[in-house]
Amino acid sequence: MNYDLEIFKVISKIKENNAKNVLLQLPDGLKPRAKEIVDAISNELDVNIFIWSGTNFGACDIPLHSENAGIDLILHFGHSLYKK
Amino acid sequence: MKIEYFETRANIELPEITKELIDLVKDKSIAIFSTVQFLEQRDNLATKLLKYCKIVNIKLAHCTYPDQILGCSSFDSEIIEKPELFLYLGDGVFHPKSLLLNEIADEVYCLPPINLSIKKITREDVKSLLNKKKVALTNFLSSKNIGVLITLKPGQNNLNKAIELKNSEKYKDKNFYLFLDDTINFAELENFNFIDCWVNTACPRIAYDDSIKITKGIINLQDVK
Repeated sequence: MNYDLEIFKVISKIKENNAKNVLLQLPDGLKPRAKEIVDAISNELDVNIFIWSGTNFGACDIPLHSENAGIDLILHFGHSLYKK
Repeated sequence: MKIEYFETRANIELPEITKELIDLVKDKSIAIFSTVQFLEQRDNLATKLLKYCKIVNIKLAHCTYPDQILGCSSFDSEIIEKPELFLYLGDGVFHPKSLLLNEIADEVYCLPPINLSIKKITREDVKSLLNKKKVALTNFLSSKNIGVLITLKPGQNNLNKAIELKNSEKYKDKNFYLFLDDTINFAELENFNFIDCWVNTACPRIAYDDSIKITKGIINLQDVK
């Protein structure tokens, strides 16, 4: 199945947020495509990109504590905003 | 810290609808759910079926869009105008199974977007999980030492409800112990051998889909309130 990774939007959101340390959070099915996303961002922008190796069960599962490691933007893939 | 969401919509064109599908929905009121990836295809399917049946739009809990479904959303949803038929457009059965677990639907017809072949899942398919829940509830009621599972995951964090349970008059005969983790590690829980039964306050699917991973009974908070 072909899923739209929205690379242009990803790059635009990093610029818009003026982010320096970006965390990529992918669901299991898209984890093999992490390289593709990181490489695409790295070709365009000089930012530190980290790949979250933990879970992404849904938009209920955001690693907010990554802020302690200096992350200023989380790019969460695979879900829309979770309304609690 | 900011969070940006990328819904990773599927790039796929649906095949033509089959006679079997038309016969299934004909003259009925139907709801068609899908995950966020297939919402566009879901709308296309609804348009194609509209001349054969009545389409009911339903907004489930925790979802951003109408007709979207999450693995947990039917646990907190009340459907006033119930359709005669539930369809699910998407891969696998994890999401539509939640409609059966909560007795919202007796059966759900699942359609993979790649070929729209029809697969029916029924209450019978989740019977063993529902029976397990009944056993876990009996186990909870007869247990003295209860472990309450709380997650740090922001959308699943119910710390206050866990404390409410601990302090509730209804269960003052029990000892409640509060356990905090991010992703609940079931192997680690086995170390706390003084616990007779677990109450889950995190994702409600844990008490069903992961109950096999734990030796003691596990029940959702909603079921003991």
